[in-house]
Amino acid sequence: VISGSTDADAGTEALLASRADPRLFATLYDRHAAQLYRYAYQRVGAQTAEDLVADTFLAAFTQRDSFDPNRAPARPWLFGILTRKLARHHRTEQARYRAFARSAPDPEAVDGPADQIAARVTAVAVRAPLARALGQLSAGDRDVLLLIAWSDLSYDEVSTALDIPLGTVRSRLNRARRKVREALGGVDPTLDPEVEQ
Amino acid sequence: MNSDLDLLKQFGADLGPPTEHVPEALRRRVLDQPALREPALRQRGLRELRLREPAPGQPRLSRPSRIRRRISSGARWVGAIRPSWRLTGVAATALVLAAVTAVALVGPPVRARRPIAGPSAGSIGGSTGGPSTAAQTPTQLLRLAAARVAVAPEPTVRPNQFVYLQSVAVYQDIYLDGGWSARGIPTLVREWRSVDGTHDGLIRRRPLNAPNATWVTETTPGCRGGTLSGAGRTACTPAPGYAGGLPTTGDAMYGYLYRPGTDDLPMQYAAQISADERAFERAASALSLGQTSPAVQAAVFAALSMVPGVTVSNGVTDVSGRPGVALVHKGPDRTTQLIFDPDTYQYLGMTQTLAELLSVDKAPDIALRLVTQQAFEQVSIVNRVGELP
Repeated sequence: VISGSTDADAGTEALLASRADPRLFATLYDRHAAQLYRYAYQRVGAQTAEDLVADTFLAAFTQRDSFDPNRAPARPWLFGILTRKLARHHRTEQARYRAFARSAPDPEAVDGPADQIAARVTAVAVRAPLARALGQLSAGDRDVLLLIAWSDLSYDEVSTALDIPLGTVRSRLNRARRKVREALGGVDPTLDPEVEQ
Repeated sequence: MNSDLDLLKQFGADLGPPTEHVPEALRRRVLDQPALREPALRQRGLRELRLREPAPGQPRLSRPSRIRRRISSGARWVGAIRPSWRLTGVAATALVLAAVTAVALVGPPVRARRPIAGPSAGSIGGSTGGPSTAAQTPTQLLRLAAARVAVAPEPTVRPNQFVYLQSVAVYQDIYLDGGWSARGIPTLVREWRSVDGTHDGLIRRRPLNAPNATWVTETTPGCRGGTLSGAGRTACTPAPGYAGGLPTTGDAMYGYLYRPGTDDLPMQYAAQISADERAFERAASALSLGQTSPAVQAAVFAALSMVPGVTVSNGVTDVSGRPGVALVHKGPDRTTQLIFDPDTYQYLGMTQTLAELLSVDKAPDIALRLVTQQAFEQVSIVNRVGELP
């Protein structure tokens, strides 16, 4: 699941170099701002995301001397900072999921190539139960699940970001996925597009 | 396979921003912080200006371009005493030339600030007060400065205490093209150095004339058990913040100032600096690092009396706007001033002008001057990091 290793290395290098020349911190920002912003936006929406990402980078700057390159690259380290800041906005996140759970999107609005429509219809149809499921997960389970599903962090990176053992990552992910599947009806919905309709 | 994760990814895409574009306001909000636009400030006193070779894989530029690149692409101060801070293996990528530059040449001086203060009168480099004889020669100036510190008691410090230093500095990049230069922002710097070098220190900075601005805080890791605090297995040697482990006799200090080595400066650049220039710059570093120790300061003054080519300049002003008398060493491409109070001969700070780099590249149409200034306002010993005297 590891992605962007080159970018990650460049970001790590920039983070370390910024200890001597703070202006090189801009390189770290350019490497990772989009990923962090997207993840924060997904979880808490636009305005709070902007605040949290700004806070994350400023925290990273002030803490850059404590960053240990032998432990992990900069990317999971940054996601770890962001995750801790997200924890303070759990009400905003819950409200966001509740709003999506209440919404009733019209599958007819889905358009595109025929071979994509079925999958898209399914995705739209399961939004409400997915939102409910995410809102009902424990914070720890949700962090693991969403870092993997939405940020493409590897298990090792999630372990580093959340400062938890690898085994805990696996158990939290399994538990979270089980609950999500249960919320979707206990079956694989992609096998039957009608299951949620 | 992974169907639930696939659906979750699709749901995440629906929840995500409409475009991959990150708001420009966010970028400005992060990167317009003053601390992120300045060269590094890990100042334990005057740090020598270092040039670095291009990183492996970077194209080697023509000589004029190389100079331009060095000036424009980055800056850093390198710890003259604390090798543990250098982290050369990881910081060597894009760092080229460091400059803490002053506005004294391009703008009005910073408003005059109070004289440097010690924790208690005379306890750490404190003034002995009273009028003094005007110094006309380097020998006179050094004798007066030495006489001042000779009566100051050596303070008693504990290993777990911190040296508190308050100073004013101005950061600025100067670009060669067209002689353009940008004014730096006078910055108030508060630094806590671990007395024995094993405790985490702290640096706080904010624009001098913005009392309500947020302090930018930077932790300076201590060296414990041979490794740098919070930096994994980075090896280090503790660098005491008190007196910096510097010599306390004139002869020993002279040997320290003229010690072999280029202080990490690449040889081709180091060769442009004479031994006397390097000794004078090292003296400035030692004076800064040894501000808490009258013995170290006296040793520096004694050693400086043996450095040739030193003159006195009256009527100078430090970056805080305080009048001073300066001990000056002028080399081929740099002039360094050690500024003293004209009445008490207390060491106030330094100014260094790096000039005539154009002669290195034989490009007479390019005007360049980089000025470094630092003015010390307060020195003290405190019990805890972050504690103000």
